[in-house]
Amino acid sequence: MMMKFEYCQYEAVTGVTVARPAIPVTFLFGGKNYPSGFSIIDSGSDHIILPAAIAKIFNIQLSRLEKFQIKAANGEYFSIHKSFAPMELILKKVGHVSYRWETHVYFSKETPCVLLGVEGFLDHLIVELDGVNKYTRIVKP
Amino acid sequence: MKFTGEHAGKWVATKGEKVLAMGGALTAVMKKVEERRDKSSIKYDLIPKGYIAG
Repeated sequence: MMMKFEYCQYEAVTGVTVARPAIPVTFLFGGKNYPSGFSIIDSGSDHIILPAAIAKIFNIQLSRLEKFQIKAANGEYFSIHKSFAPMELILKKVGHVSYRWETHVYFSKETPCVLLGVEGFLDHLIVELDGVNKYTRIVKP
Repeated sequence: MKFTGEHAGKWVATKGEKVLAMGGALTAVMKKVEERRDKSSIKYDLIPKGYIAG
């Protein structure tokens, strides 16, 4: 079964709106959950990256996680911290069977939002971006 | 859903197409809505400020 989600609109600068493919993903770990409404799909990111503040929801201390440096689009490097165990991710839509899968995620103080990248997201699902009509279609393989 | 400039760079709590609360810290935003009876259907997001690139 396919899930279809409308792009989300963001006012990037005054009077200029950008439509981005964003979907509702809930992250579960250690009996706690973080329900995101608009996690942005980012094929330019190798990983799923969550803002560092979310780690606190799961009682995860970044200082205890393995740290990596990644290069941003502007050429600068920033730090990401790999979750020490996989999290469960759930994609839900009313009237559809939920998709559930497990993967490692990364936390960063630099990310501007939740980014759904290649490892753990784009390599788990079939994702079609319809930029003309501003819809994302997702199919579980 | 449409987020305006006032949401940029902030954490928001949403239900459907409605922004219920916003602020500079996730924990503070969660606290603002914790007494709501519909708490289980609320979502939380950090809204990007400006243009982004990955």
